[in-house]
Amino acid sequence: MRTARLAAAAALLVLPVLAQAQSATINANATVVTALTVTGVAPLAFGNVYQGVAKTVVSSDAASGRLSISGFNNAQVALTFTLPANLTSAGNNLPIDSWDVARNTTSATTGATAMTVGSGTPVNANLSSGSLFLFVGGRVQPGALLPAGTYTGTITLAAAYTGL
Amino acid sequence: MITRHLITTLTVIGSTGLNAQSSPIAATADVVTPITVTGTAPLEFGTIFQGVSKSIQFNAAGSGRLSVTGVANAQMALTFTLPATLSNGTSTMPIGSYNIRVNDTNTTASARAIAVTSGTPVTANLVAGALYVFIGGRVTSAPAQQFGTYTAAIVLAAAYTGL
Repeated sequence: MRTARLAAAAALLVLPVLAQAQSATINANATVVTALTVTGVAPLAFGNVYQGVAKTVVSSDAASGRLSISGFNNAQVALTFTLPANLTSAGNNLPIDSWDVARNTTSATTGATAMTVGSGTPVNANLSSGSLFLFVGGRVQPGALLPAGTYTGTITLAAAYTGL
Repeated sequence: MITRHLITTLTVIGSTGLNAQSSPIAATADVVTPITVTGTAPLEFGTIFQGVSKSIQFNAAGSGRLSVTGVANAQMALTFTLPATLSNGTSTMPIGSYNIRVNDTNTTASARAIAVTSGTPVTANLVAGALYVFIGGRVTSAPAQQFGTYTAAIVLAAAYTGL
């Protein structure tokens, strides 16, 4: 009798197991790609500038500013330049009145493509081979009475993936 | 004395045979086809860029897919286990939202949205003996998200409710 009761109790314990839910699992996957790296390679060097005489360094000059970006192949990136309106020296301003920016997939200026760039305004470009090289030229307009000295400014390039 | 004892015994036997009436009936039960849950396709977010969110719609090629089969018209409880993050070693990436739909046929067209909370059962009917589940979602990548492959498991459990 005791054995029979135990068997019945055991059977009751088994029943919930038989009624358990059936289940299946799928994975959710995502691959985060290589981070963007932006490197300043060379400064934009206007060299000697004479009072009252504008001086231009074009993007293809050896003295042009150079930056590079590396990241994921074929990804689109938003490039945002911060371009100074002036170079400064001891409180004196040397205006930069125009910019000449070009890009290429290699580090050569030959075959580079001109870009229309406004300071602070993002512009899109593709990392078609995982890299992008940027060449920055410009023109300074020294005043006729601009004091002598070394004038400097900072050009900043920020890059971010757009997701495309 | 012996004779008297025999008479008593016969009386008892005779009483049993005369009063009991019986009519057997059958007790029957049909145990129906068990539920089968099958994972058909993973939820593939694909390539993610740092700092850029990405959504996969329920009807996109990368949506997660499962199917449930069982007895037609039976009601069942569906319990999803939905991860809050994808993981890559110690790095995590949040899944901000899910978009889950079901259909009686294996197509996303006309699929019905269901509001799902991870771990909380929701009921659904196996109208035609099968239910197809389509799962979309959205991941949010941090600006400095560690690169690599992130994964997590989505689990669907189904059980008959008896209705």
